Amino acid sequence: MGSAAGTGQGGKARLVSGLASLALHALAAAGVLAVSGMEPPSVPHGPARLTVVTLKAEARPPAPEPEETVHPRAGGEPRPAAPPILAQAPEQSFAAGPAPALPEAPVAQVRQAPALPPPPPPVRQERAEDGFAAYQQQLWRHIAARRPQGAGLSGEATVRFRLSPAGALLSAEIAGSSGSANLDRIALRTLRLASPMPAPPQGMASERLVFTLPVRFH
Amino acid sequence: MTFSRALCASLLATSCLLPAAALAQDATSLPPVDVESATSGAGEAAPLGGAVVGRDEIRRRQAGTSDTADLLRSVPGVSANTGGGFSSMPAIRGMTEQRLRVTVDGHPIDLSCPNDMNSPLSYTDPQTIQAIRVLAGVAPVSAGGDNIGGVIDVTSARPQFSGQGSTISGELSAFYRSNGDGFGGSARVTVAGENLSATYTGSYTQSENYSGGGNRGVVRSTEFAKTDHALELAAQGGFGLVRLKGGYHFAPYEGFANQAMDMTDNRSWFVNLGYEGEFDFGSVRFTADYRDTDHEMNFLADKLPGAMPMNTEVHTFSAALKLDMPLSARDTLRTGWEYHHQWLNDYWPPVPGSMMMGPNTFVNLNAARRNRLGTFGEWEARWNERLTGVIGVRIDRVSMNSGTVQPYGTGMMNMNDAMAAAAFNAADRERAEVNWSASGIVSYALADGVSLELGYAHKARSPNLYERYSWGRGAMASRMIGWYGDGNGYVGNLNLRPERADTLSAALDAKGEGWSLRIAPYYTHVDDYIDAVFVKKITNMMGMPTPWVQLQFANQQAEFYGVDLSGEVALRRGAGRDGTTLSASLSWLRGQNLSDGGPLYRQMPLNARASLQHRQGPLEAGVELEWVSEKTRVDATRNEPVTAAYALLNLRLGYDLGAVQLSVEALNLLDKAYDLPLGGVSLGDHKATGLLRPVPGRGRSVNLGLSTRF
Repeated sequence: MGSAAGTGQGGKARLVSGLASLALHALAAAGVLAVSGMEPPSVPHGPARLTVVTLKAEARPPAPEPEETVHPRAGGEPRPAAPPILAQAPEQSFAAGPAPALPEAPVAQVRQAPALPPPPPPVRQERAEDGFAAYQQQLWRHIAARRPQGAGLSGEATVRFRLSPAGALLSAEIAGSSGSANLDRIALRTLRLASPMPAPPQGMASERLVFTLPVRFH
Repeated sequence: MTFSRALCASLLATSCLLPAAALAQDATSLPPVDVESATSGAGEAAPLGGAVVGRDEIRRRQAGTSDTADLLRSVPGVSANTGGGFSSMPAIRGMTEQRLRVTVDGHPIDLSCPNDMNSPLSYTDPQTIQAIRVLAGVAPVSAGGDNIGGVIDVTSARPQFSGQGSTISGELSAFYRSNGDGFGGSARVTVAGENLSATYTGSYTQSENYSGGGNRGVVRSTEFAKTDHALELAAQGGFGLVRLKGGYHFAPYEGFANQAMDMTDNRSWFVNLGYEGEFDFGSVRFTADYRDTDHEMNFLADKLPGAMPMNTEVHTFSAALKLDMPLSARDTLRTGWEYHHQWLNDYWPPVPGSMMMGPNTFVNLNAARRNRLGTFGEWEARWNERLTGVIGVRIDRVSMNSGTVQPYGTGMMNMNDAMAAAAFNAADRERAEVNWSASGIVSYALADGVSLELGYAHKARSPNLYERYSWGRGAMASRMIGWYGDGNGYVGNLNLRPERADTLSAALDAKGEGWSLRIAPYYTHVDDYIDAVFVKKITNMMGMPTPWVQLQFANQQAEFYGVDLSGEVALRRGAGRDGTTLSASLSWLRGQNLSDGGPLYRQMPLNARASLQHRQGPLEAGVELEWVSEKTRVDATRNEPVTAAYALLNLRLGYDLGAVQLSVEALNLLDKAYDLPLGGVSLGDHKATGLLRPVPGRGRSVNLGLSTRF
């Protein structure tokens, strides 16, 4: 009783507010256009959407995505088919300890410049693993700097994603759900917005450009 | 379309969970990224000028007060205007509660009393609050419209879900206060399943009159009792998160030391609905709520004999939709719509046998309505690692109306009111305004750990129902209106214009190894500030002078400026959370009425607090010194009392037994006698003793607290 919303407020009210709303949205839309016109969109539209790709066989060469910018390999360089042991080594030392290797890693407000990644180091077979370890750090910092704001729920979503040799996000999926669809989607969206990532070291085998990242929501 | 796409995406994501896990072996695993939540759950920018008081801090202090606004006094720039024992009205940088947006779990609660006795925060209990977020200075327009002074949002516990199976968790607490024999308790119990969760929160608190410090004696009309209960159901799934919460509040009595009336019954129930969804394009937040309040005023024991029932019924409905759309790692676009409806009846039944208060019901507000429709657009950009900006525009359309009114009678004693009612009923009472607001905030990191925030905002607020539609001009009728605690009479004004404020604010934040410092100056100019101007001196029924005056709400010019300082130094660091910390804050403020050249009412004088906090293993000890300078800048229009400087010493001890946490504290340890600078005058004492004094602050109180979590 008496709670019927807006009883007696005539169409005038709706008209004015409707116009106001329209004007605001036009403004917002103009803003978006201006913004998107100002700089080339960093994330290509179609495929960069959260397409969930089920990776069928690991041995299969990466399905060529329309946008994939494949850097021509340095001439005649042999494919760094690192043995599994070597491939795991940096990962283990990296993932040991509580996120230690990363120098600053302040929790609150890391804001990394979306600057261009430094020019890839010269590809030297013996230094490839060092380069990959450094790249992992660079990649982690790039994503961490673009971390989202949580949604007031706690949980850990592990995302698995694949990058192109240029650092573009080819696919992302949830490898371990947080138990909340909302948190899982925030984690996936974070990756999409962080693309393009820093370019991996040149000559890195595409099979190695697959990563998992736990996103812990507090 | 996008919704269903997102749904498909998530279904796919879940369905390919197993193969993905099998493949995870080959992926290079990166270390975890930790993501902190904004307490509101919405992705709003939290400006440097803001503050969050979290559960740990509240738990530490919940034995000492049942008044949420009182808790907020620890935030630099926030003060509490004295009301009842659980109904202080918070003020941010000199702007009183009526100029703020105060929400509980994001849902607004309206003014529902001519004295603002059941203020929004009176529906919260420190024992069950999860966090309080204060946006001082320049709040982004996405944080809400129809306010010029900032935003206070109280949040209760967020829903919890179990990983698998079902879990039960919760918190129980109880306290006792020696001063006023206050006691209370609370319970929160959450039963959580994987996708469903139910949380019950309940609390009870009561107290007798408290004693002032030193020789001030008992402060009359400060007793209170209330209970709050709420049940929240939450469900999550591919659709997102839905929360449905219903609650009931009952306050059988609450004395008001600085009002002519007391609250003798307040019942309110509400239903809140919330939806949170995450999609490809961004976040969706929808809230809707309905609240029904029945509020009654009369006299409690200290103000007897006599009777004067005054009843207020309020229904409110609001709905809001917010979209948060990250366009790129740099740009985020926010937009939202909000509708708010308030319906209010305020009537004073006749008093049998009274010549003056009869024979009819005094109709103060008759089906008064205040509707607001708002929309905003906001753009946030992280230009680079150092520079962030938020700009936004907002439009709110406020429309108000009120039905015809009537006085108690039309005899000689009611002549002033009878004439005023006739004029009010003849006037066109429908009002509508379109208020626009804008805010712009830039944050710049000058160096590692040093950041500077600059903000500008233009904000507007339309008058509330009582400011616009109170019409009584009789001495008694007008003295029933007002939340100022000054004993004066207030007459509404149909011709009030909305307040429009321009605020410039800055915050310099510096952090180093074991220390931090924040300096936040601000300046606000308010056009059409709703203050009050002199109408006449109030005489009693014999025609003899009284200490009171009758005032009328009027638009004035006003300005506020000041600075808030706060800092912290770690004196010693031990293992884990052990250590000793010294923290201090200071607030200085000037509020000036530019139209009459005098100071504004209820402006907190220079004040500072310093505390030493020591933690060692299960033991936590704290010493706090609170200092407030004399208040000589007083509002002459309202005959605001001058108050002397004072310093209070508080001691706190906490011990964690593992399953149970104990706390013992002594507030105002030295039992210092002092008057509350924002307390107004002690009308309860005046009625009993005939002596008029400012409202004394609470004397020494030893408080015991007990809590357990499971």
